[in-house]
Amino acid sequence: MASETVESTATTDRRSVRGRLGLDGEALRGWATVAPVILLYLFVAVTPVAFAIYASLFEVPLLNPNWTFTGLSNYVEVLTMNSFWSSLWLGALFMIGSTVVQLLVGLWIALVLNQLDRGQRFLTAVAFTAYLVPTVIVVLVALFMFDVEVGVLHIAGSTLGLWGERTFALGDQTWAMPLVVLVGSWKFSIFVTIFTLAQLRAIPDRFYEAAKICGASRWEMFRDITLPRITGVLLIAVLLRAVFMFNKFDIIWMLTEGGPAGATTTLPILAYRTAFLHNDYGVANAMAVVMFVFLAIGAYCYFRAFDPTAEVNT
Amino acid sequence: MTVHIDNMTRVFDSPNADRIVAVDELSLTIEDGEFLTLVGPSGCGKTTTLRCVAGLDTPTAGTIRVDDRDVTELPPQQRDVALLFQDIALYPHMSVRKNMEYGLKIAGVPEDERREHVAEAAALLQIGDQLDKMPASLSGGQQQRVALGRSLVRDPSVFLFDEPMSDLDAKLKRELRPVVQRITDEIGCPVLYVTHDQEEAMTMSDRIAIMDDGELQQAGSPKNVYSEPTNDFVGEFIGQPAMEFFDARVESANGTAAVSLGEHTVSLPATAAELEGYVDGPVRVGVRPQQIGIGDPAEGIEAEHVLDEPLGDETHSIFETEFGDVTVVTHADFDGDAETDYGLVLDESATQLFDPDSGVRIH
Amino acid sequence: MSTPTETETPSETETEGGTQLSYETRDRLYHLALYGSAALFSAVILFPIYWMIQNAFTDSQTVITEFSWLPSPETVTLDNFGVLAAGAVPRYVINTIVVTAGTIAVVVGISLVAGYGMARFRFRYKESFAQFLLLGYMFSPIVLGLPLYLIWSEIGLLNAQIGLVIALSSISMPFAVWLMWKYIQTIPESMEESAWIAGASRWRTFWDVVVPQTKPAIVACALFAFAIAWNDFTFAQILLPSQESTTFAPGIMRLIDQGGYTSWGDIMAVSLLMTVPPLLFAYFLQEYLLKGFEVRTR
Repeated sequence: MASETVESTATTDRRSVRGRLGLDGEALRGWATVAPVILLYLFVAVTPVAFAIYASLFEVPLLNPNWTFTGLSNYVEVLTMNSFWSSLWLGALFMIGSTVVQLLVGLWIALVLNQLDRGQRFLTAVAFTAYLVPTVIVVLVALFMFDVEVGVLHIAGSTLGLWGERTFALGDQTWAMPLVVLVGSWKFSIFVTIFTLAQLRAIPDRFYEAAKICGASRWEMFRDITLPRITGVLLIAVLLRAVFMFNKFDIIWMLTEGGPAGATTTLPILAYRTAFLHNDYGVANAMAVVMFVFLAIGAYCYFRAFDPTAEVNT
Repeated sequence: MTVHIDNMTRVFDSPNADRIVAVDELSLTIEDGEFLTLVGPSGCGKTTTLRCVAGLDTPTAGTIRVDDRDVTELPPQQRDVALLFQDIALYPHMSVRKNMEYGLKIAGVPEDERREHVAEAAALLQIGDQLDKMPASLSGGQQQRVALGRSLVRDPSVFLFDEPMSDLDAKLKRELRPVVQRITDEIGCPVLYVTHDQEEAMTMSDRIAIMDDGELQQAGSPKNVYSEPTNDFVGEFIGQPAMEFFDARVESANGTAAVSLGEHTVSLPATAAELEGYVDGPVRVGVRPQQIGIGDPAEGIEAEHVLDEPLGDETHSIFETEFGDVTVVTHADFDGDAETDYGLVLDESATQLFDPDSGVRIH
Repeated sequence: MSTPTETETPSETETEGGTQLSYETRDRLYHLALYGSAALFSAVILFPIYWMIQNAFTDSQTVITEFSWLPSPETVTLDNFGVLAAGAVPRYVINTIVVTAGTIAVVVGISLVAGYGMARFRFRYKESFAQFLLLGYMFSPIVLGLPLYLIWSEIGLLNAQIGLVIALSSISMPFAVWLMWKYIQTIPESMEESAWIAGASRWRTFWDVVVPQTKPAIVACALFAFAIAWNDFTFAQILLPSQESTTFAPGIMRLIDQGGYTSWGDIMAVSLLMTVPPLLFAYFLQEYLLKGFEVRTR
């Protein structure tokens, strides 16, 4: 706040002196420029959340315009549902598994990229490519590669004895979840790389030179120079990844639709199923509200870890 | 055209601190064809004044008129002024030619006429061969010429300069000064030139207005403000090296006045009557370093030599005295010696007296 | 920074003489690990892409009957790309293009104006507004999509591509507006002032002076919106339930779901086509992209 006002003091209009109410011509024009954004947000973010809270208090059969007010019973239903708790557990598993894999792989790629003397451009391009391939294409290729007839990964896996020759791995109780995590991580690990790489490149060479002169080994340089410098950024990346993964719907749904037998039914999948397959829109909205609460907690942590006003001041 | 600034005040609201009075009841007139320089230390309100004249800022109180037209509330688009910015502000995505003709294009001047105007201005500024280049490929001095050209082609009714040379090196400044003067003569409109550089002000202006802390201190010709400063601020700000000041007392005997600086006494051309109210009281004595001579300790203020700054044609020598460090302009061959005792001799006819509290010049 | 390393040094030199490997060996091992990792990552990332390309150009019958690591000249064909000429797939692709183009237009237009306003006007609660915007990072399509389904169907936006464009634009806003805001702040205000003094109106100045200089940010925002829209499955699945209006991702998944569609050769061909645009854009506009990321991660 402070820096903003100081910076523009020299150019302030007297209109702002006149209009003590804060709604002088300049402020009006300012608000007018951001009004479309506010409208969009109201329309697509604020209203739906409010609506979800509202709808969660009713029994809403999707194809029937008659809503029945049921108070908090949808929430009671959600909280007493076995499938809710199991999908919360599976969601947590998916979230933690994905975040850990993506963090490790993403960080590893970033470190390798940062250290390479040759082929750096090539590997950067390759890594970015994974991020740029649309999710649906990742899924289609994965489905093809796990195809029981000609899937290359299916054949590889069954040859190694991981699964049976006629077993569709993505439809297998044991393998579905780990494979969904891995397929997702193929695309999203690079997110961590991108976040970290900028920070890694910002570490001045002289730090390493100074350490080398002191006789530090590579591991010591990593532990004492690199790691402390990227911890902050890693924290943010982990937080964002965890939040995104907790809410991940597309890749899971496209790969397994939550199956087999609910083995990959995370909370978003359960909510979607409840609304559109079980026709229980009220309960689905109650789940959406629960997810929103998780999001809000994530958002709160995000703002604590990553003070946006600090960004304003830069 | 004549620009009249009447009782102009500009107050900024500051959320953290008190309100800031950037310009305080400034009244100033810029005659047609006059080159007026507004000079002062940074934060003195000179740029705010210029921005109010340009219409980029609006005074909190007071009026600005061009001839008889009140322009105080007019937006910059309707003022027909030209402004040269400190950061030059050429549009980086337009060629030099596009930059120069932009104002004409806005005014709806047809293409061939625009080309003609641009060619004329470019010839005058000796940038005719640069017209198809992009601004980023030009040197700072050339960029400033383009910016001048951009203003020139519009034939404005008031020409404003906001420290246009402060980012240029000394050599370029000297090179550009005559160019600026030629251009402004060519247009022949009132010119308001803002700078913190007193040398620029002295060399270019018809008249100089010195501001400090939002208030106008003095306005006059360069010679006038140099030789007859109205107060110690102007005395110190104008002239290089800055005027030296000594705390002293006025003594009178038989109707003639003298000031004593510590042990040393300087007799003044003024009579005691002229110094009414200050006799037997404190005053500040101001002397320009050019008017201080070096002599024996017996002849003047006792001084110890600190260092010399040889400039080639003259030397600035710094001495330590009981009044603090004093700069003296000495001969080019002067070579001070820390072991020797010197005396600083003030040229009695060139001393100026200032009120020790208000700083206003007494005599 | 070097203080902790200095304190470690003595213990290091102590052990080095005895049990540890020589410097050369360790260095060789390190480089082996480094380039080994690089090769591993390249292989893991590139193989699926290679596999997609290879099979896209392989006769569709061969794809589902024979397995081969390398393409063989007899089975190479362009026939699979015929999938774009008939059936439901071309409609999905066109719908995706329409939605993506719409999202880019809306995001760039709105964020440009908003970013300009935030950079140039002083108004109260501006910073709070910016923080509120960042909350958008936290929006998830599924949480918003569920309620939006009924809202959109109430106001007739369900199955309308404009409805999807609105939803996708909103979730692109935090990035786009912040980027524009920060970017426009780096353009000196004196350039605009100079144009005003030359007689140009605020609006004209915006077009003549600000917009041309904002190009890198515009490109970065457009790419970002492109990625959001091109990648989207969830919103389209929920908000475009009809087969006519829906985009590629839900469309093709529904085709596969209905069971009738397992011509992997065709699917790989269209997958390849859908992958090419983002790669091309990213390649040709990488400078702008990097600038965008710089502003964002700063």
